[in-house]
Amino acid sequence: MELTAASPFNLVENAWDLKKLMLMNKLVMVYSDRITSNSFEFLMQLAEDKLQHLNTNLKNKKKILHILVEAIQNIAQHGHKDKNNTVASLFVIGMDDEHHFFVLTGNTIPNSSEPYLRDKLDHLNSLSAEELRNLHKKRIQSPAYTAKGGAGLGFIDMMRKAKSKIDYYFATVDKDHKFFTYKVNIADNDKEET
Amino acid sequence: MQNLDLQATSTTPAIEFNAASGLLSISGRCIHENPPQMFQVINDWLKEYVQLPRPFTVLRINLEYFNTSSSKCILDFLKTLKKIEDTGNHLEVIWIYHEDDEDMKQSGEDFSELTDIPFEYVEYN
Repeated sequence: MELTAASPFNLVENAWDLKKLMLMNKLVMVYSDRITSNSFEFLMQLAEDKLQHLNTNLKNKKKILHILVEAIQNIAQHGHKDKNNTVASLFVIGMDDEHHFFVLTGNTIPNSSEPYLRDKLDHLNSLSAEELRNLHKKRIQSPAYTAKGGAGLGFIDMMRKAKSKIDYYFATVDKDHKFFTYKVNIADNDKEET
Repeated sequence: MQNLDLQATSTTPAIEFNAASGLLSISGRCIHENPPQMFQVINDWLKEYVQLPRPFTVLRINLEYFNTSSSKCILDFLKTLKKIEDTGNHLEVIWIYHEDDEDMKQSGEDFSELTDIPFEYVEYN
């Protein structure tokens, strides 16, 4: 993937704009680099520190970190590796408002993976909490791990923890690849209590 | 038979399996990216233990996090351990979780239902 800027962009002069963009969108943590199977330990530590600093309640903190582990391992196992054996990735923890956290990840995939992912996520998004629970029970008992080592449970588990649907988008990278982004919105757990 | 003691790491739990007393404990994080490899040692020990278990076996599980690939291994582990009941031995599983961690409680309930082992639930704060 070769990216060329349409016009020169001076990062030193525009760094404040980048920072403002993060602040205005309440982005707690943004990581844009290669993701490997070892990245999640580092990202988990960083996220834990950040969430601690924000005094995030334990319920949300655990949900976010749990989703982080699944999302990162998902990318490391299934993301499209380039010739340097790395996956172009993006990982974001942010807040839609002061009560709603989200976890967003993006990674490059071959075009051929899009229909499968679309079908899978549309199907999961159509299920009720009880149906998701039943599907989880079925999958966890199926004998085989998926070909790349996952248990086929990642998205189901993220949705059960988040108690909400997953938003997704496929942006075109080049003629053979898409940038697959999905956002797990964590439902407001304490709404009833406040 | 030998006890099994494994130190916790940032991605694997502490394992304390005492063959003489029948007290087994799994605690910490279970988020290794290749759980079947990690569970190999545990399963080898367990296969030997279920051949000749203590009359009373107590398993304490206190997990902070576990990933979905590990959940399959945990389920298989529990199913194997349940076999000791076939020979008239007693099994007790204690599922320990933080009082605010409703997801961890739910996971315990899922495992209990899937294995048909009634868990005892213990909250901490």
